[in-house]
Amino acid sequence: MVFTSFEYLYFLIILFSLYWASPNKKIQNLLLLSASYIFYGWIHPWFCALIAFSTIVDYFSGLGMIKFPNKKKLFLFSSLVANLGMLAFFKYFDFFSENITILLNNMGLGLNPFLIGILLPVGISFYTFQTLSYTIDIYRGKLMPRKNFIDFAVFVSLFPQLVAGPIERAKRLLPQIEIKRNFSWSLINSAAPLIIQGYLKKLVIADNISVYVDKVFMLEQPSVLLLIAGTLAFTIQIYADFSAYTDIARGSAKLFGFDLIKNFDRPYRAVSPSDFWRRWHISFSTWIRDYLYISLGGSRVKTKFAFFIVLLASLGLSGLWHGAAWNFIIWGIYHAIIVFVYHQLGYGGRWKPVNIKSKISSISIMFVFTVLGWMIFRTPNINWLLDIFYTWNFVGNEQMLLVSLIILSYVAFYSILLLIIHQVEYSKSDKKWLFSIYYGFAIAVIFIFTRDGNQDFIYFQF
Amino acid sequence: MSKKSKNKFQHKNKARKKHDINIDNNKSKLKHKFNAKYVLLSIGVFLLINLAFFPANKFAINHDIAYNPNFNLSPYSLKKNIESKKPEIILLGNSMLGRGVHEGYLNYLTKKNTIIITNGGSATAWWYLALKNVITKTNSKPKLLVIFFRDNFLSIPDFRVNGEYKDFIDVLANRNEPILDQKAYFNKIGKIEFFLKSYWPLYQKKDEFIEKLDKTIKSTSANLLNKNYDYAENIIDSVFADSNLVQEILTLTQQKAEKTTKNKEIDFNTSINESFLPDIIELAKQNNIQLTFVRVKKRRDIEKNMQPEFIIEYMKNLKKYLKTRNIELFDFSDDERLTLAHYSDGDHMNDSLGIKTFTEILSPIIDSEFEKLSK
Repeated sequence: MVFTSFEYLYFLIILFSLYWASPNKKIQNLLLLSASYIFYGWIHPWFCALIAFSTIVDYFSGLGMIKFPNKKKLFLFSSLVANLGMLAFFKYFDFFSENITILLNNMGLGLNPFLIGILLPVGISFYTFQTLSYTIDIYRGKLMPRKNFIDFAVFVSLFPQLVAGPIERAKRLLPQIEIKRNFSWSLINSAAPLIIQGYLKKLVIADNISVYVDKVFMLEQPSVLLLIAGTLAFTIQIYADFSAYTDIARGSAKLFGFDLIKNFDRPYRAVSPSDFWRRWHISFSTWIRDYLYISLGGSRVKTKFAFFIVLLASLGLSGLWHGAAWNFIIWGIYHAIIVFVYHQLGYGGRWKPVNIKSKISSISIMFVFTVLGWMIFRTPNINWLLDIFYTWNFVGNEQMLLVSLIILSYVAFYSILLLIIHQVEYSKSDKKWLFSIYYGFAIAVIFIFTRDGNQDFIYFQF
Repeated sequence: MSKKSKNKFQHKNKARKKHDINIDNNKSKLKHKFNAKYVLLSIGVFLLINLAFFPANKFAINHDIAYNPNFNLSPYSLKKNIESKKPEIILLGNSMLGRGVHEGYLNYLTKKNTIIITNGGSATAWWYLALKNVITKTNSKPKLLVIFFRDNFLSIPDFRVNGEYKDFIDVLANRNEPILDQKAYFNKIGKIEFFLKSYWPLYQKKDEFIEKLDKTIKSTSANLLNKNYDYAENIIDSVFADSNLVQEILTLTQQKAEKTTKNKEIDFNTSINESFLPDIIELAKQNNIQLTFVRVKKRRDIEKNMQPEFIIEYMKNLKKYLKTRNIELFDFSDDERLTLAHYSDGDHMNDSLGIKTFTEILSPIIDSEFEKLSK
């Protein structure tokens, strides 16, 4: 089920009524669990079998680690194999099969790739990482396993964040599931602004600008300027799209008494690559930091080379997490390189500019790096991108110039809209009446500028 | 579980709430919490904005358009053309027909009176209106109507009905076009959305607002190069023409996603009743006009040298569907007489060779289809 569909609206209203009419926590959680499975299996019911499998494996792995402490590693291993195996099979099998076949064919063997061609289950990367954090935390002694299967199953499948995050930690979400939630009007008060802002970003900005992004990245040979314009449009689109999902997810969760982690913090105001990763997809980047980067030694490794390898592994895998394609891996490697270079130049970690001038210049430089990164991320394939730079036709003909200008104008327009949304989101003003007027206008704008037909959120494909 | 480890587990289990971070949901830190009066203020503002657009139009989709007798695709001019030429056969389609078949040469070859009605970029909605509001409304209805299409156009009723194409639709449409509105505009929406579109003025104004924004942005950009809005629109179409887009560059995942989406859209059996095809067939039958369909060959059919599986499946179903209704379908997508040398820009035939060859290929078919009628 998609947040932007009418089905979701009906679903939310029905569930909200039943949920708050429930007499106790047990019924609330049972309702949430059933609703989450309906939400997830709405189009492809077989997806539910996967999430159920992941839930069962991690539930028993967690309990097993405590019951048989001397076999902790075995239980952790089984959880890792089950979750990563599922991910590898559904998400990466075809990619590796294709690439291994290409490699073997280059060695002279005439083989055809064996492809399974199965549809990628939506959100699999998100919930596998979420459940993995549960078993790893138990293994590390930071969390006690839960005996209540329903509570645990709700933690794995909680519908607002199931398909595109935020990736919640058990330590944060499980305690919320384990207590009785009581209805309060303040829940609606705090949920509504998030949901409105989310729909504004998704339906008005992301979906409208995506029209041009899709076209530019399907052109046979766009000029460099057109590619830049398309990438700037994508820079707006991906942020508006993904942060919208988080906003709607957080708002929806609030309606049921849950507080989900904030996933974005004005990422395009980052002053360095490390800062960017503290602001972009926070729940994922902290996951990578806690379970991969630090486990590999983090910045405490002895040599520069070892540090680079740690970054390469962490960010390279982050790239691969986004999809089974070379451009995602290269995007991850690109980020590893810029993090490393910044670090070596003394701008790594929590470095902050000392004055406004250096702040502006560091934000601008980092923005350029971010946009270049999105270019790699969005490219249909690396050869296509290299070809554009190899032939280097900057402006192209007059037609391409005009189209570039039009796209840049759209970028400017939607950037202003995004800035207004940010201004409201981060404003410290106490003029509540002003915000009320803003939200009234925002709802009207959503209804006016929503395109016909639903578009999926970008991060669904990951 | 041993007794010792069980106790340890229970002890830890009791203590876990102290260790785990406990969140008080109702005290989440959201900066703009507002109480009931502020919620009401928001709703009030929203309602006020709505009031500004009352009353709602009678019909959900407004087909009003300034009448222009010089518009060569108006019902008036099209009817005039038909009534003056009194054709036995009419060929209907988009620019692939217009650039692919030569009317005079076809008439010369077939010795029949045939006219061509084309509108660049048109699709089934326009063809349906052309049949309903023009062809069947003339005093000299043709005996044979041949509709030219490509790919799965016949079962995509909402294809090219918005934006610049809406003007062409509105020129042919009457004020009240329930079938057109339902199939072209409301086909994919639920009853609530349909209701909103029908009676909610703000919702009805959507397209107008979007168009205004679009025009402002495009004209401003075009002005920088001393061009106007219309020029910008044409350029966008030309830069992003199908022939400039590369399908092959999609990644495997994208291809899979594409295939899934397309399959959903073109599943013939599920989409047929939502398309204009049954209406077109019914209209033709009521007016004693024999229908024939021609699937034209695209440049990409040659370049790719193979057709997607879903199109092959779709064509099988379409052929079967039409056959049961006594309608012939001629598919030229695999015709080897048409090569790259016959094409100019995009999927259009060239004037030197393409139009001549395709007209010659087509003439015996037109002949035989017409002969069948006299038997």
